[in-house]
Amino acid sequence: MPLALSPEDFETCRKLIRERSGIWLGDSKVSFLQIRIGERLKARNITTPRDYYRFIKYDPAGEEELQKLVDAVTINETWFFRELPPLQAWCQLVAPEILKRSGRLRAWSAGCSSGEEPYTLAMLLLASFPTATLQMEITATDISQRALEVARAGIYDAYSLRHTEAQWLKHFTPQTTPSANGATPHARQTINGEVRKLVQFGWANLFDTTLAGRIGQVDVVICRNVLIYFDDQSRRVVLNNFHTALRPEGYLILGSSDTLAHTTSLFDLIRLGEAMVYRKAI
Amino acid sequence: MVEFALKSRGYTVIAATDGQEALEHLERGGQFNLVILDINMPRLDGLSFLQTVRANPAWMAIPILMLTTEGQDADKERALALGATDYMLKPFKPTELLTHVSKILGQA
Repeated sequence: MPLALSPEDFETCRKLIRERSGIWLGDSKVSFLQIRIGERLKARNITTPRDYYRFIKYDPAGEEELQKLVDAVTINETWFFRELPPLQAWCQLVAPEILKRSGRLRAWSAGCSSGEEPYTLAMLLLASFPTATLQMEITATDISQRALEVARAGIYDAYSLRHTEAQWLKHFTPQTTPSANGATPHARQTINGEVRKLVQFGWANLFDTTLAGRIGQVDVVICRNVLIYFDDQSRRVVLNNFHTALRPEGYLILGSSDTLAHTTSLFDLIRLGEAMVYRKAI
Repeated sequence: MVEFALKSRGYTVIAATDGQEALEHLERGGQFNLVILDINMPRLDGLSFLQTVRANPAWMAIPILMLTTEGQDADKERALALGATDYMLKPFKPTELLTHVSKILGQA
């Protein structure tokens, strides 16, 4: 039988996760959390959820374990060239003006997961502004250390590239050695240096009220299919961070499953080309 | 294939032809350790089934494994957001399914 989480255990564990990350696991996530905690208990050789909670709270390795638990509950579902129209619209209609006006451009990929999104933006920017590489910077952050390790390694399997058109493959080099899990050579691709140079990865908790100060000023925030994992209260903190980090008239690009309806008046929904995006309200 | 693979490993399987029929099994008081669900189903689709099941406190903790196909990426994410326990991408080998099921049932 799978590990049984009592209602009290579920409550305690989801609060721990929320305190650490802002991610709120709703009531429908009991079985989801049960499986992930079961795996962590096994990895730590701990028998009960209560002992696991005590381990996180009082053991010297508790902080590290809490990060592992957050890693286990984050959903790193992404791929290259996902939901492209808003990114294309911003690159074509907004970025040229920013580069012309200020001579530099900075984007924040917030909740970048394993890196496909910021690398996609980097490829789009390189295609539009091939000589401006020193003027463009993408800061990419995520709460999951596991996802960031993949992002920094920049090695992807065919599944991540399933929506990548042939014209973009010039930015990848096929892997020539078999991977640790036995995947065949050439099934995996490494992202090339010129794309990599545009992206800096870092760990960040979007729920941290001081985060915007550390990120600094950006022209666009891309945060897609991340807000759905926060409750209203956490979402407000996250959106405040975005608002603070954005320069005047900066853009916020959300995912198709995200909406700001009734959450905040910090952003206006506007049409940009064929896409709907948010702009920092004045 | 799913039914055959599970039965060959000794699991008791109740097969439903669509989401509505699956829901009726639950409503009749059936006790299940796991629900394996396709996103594409007639009458009541997988996501609607998931939403209905997770809205009922009695069924909230039943593990639900979603089966999705390539091209349904957004649905997969939505399924997890709605409370799916895990997902598998079709096509898969019977052994992969059994490994996944064992993991969810805490037998791995």
